[in-house]
Amino acid sequence: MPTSGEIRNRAQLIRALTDAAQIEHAVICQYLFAAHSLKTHPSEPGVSAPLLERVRQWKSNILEVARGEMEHLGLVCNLLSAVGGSPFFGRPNFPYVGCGLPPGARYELRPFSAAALEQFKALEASHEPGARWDDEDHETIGELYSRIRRGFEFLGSHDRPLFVGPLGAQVSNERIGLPERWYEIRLRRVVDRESALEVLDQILEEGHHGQAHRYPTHYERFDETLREYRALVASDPSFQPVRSVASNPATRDGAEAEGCSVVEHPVTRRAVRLFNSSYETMCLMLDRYYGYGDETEAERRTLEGIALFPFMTVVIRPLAEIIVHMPLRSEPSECTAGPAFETDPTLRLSPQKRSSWIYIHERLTDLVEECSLLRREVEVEQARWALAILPRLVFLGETLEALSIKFAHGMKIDVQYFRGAYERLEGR
Amino acid sequence: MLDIHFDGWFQCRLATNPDPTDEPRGISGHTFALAGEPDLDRVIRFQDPVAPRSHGPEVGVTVTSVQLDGTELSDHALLGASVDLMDDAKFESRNKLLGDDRGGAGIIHPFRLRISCPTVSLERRDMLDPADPDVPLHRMPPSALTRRGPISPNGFVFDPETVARVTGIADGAAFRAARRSALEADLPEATDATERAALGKRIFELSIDDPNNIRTQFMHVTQTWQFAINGPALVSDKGGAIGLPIDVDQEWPVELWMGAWDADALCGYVQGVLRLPVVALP
Repeated sequence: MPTSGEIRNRAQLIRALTDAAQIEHAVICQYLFAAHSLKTHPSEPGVSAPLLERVRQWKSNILEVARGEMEHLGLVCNLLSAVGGSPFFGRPNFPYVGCGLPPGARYELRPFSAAALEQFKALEASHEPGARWDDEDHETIGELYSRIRRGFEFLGSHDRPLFVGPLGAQVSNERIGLPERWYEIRLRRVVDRESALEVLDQILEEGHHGQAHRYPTHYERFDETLREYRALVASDPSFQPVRSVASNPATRDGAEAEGCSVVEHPVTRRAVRLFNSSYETMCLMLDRYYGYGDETEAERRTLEGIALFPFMTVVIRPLAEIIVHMPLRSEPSECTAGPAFETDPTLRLSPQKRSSWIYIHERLTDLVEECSLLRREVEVEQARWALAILPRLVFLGETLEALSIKFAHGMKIDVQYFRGAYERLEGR
Repeated sequence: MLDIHFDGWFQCRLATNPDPTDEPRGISGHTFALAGEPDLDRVIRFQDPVAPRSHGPEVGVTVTSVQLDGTELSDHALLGASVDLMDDAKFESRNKLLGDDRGGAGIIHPFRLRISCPTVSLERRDMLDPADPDVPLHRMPPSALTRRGPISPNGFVFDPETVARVTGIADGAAFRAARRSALEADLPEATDATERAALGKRIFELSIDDPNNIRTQFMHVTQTWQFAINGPALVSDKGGAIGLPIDVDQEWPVELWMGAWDADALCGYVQGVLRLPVVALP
């Protein structure tokens, strides 16, 4: 559970911002999981052509909110960097009790449903500064950000300088060449107390307040989706827009005791572990990117061109969309797995950049190899689900190879060694 | 040099950012496979569009001018010839993963251009690595794709003047509004649920009328490529219709721009020139 009480020093401010980063990260995963559980292809039963358009819009809505939360996580990392802290991409594995939740609630990976959307709405509604849970020991997201805001106001007026972090470490739309609000992203740098407060206000407004209703808030997106979903389900009982995705899928030891749905099918297990490893690799790169050590501009551009864009788009999302078609268990069942977002809490990058680049590149080439092995196992399966996912799996393998090569070239890692690895994969 | 100028509307059924390149139906971007349509396949079609949409432009790229060293050949056999990109050519940016840091649509790959009419066929393929022409694209280092990349550092260029001059579309917002009105007029006549779903989605998208939105902005954007096609050439010229001996040993320079992206119709405009070196007569 987080610390509470008014923020009176840098350490308390960094701790509260770290809590905020963990919250944003958790909701991103929750929203992505729910979005990817939706049916989107006309070949999937239970959804007519007209209703498939609505389901497509729901997935689009949720992914838009998830991108907004990624923006929030980026802004929190900028705030951390500005005051001399480190970016934070860690969190416990799902399900877990964490800050920002009401009593009895957990951060969970759940498929799309009315209950899930109600929880998402409640989380976004709790961005309101005046929002309260029924229990004083449980701080809302709005209360946390308000406390952080008061912390900046207090510390920003002191003689001791607060904003000590390198400005070049922060990420902005201008830095990454993204016009404002394209893809719903508005990243800004934090340079002083005023800009810090503006960023905090932006996070809260995008969650619930809205900018004089110019753009729908995250709350409004979920509310709109939930109302339409309820109306359509009520009018057509045969309407089944959600795949049979198990909640809280997991591959780690002891997961069953935590209330998880253990991924038992061996091929699916390999896919989920590939997802976990990909997700970890992305977080490591983002941590390095937002952390900003002594990278050259070229190295920084390489990290941007892989981790910031497009790793989430070209690896995480396609792999999640593949996994939700794969069986959870070995015995016949409609139940499928989902992206587990499992991480190793001990995972760290060396602060020494050269060894970090080599380590990340090895992880990327390991992903290539794992994807190749997964593909061969899927090819053997001959099941309908295997045939459906194979083209995307092939494309994913190419993508991972391209990422690995791009990283090696950008970080000037000798590729001769790795070319042999690709050729060995071909020959198997 | 024998300059073969061509232009026309092309179709490309592709997913767009922030969707992944291989997204089959379109979710978060500004392009979609509609109800009743096949999955997005990314193929650039200069002819024979797949599932062409109502009120969209007529797809077909043809030769519009033939010049010999700057002199117009007004009755050349190639005038009106069909221009094709073969081998299911695609824009290969893959969410900016391939190639160097320039933005835009990436390279066109494979690049095998064919110009053909009943009596003439010219065809040539460009090879990214002549020493190893079959290496898969995704294994090429970024630097290997630079020659085939966009000439602008940012890939896309905001060029409303060129788009307006060539296509007649000067106001993208008004163009989209007119298209929406036409579809709204069609909607009451559509009785099939699938057709209505498709029309509804198009109308919804066209109702996004912020002039700064990517859907409107891309109507005024172009991307230009300029390189010399270096692979084996195939020239079939029955009865000497070309009129000149084409040098198949020298590379064939090509320059083309593509743009004026109509996100509703999944079509864009292409204009270019293929420059054919002529064998010097003794």
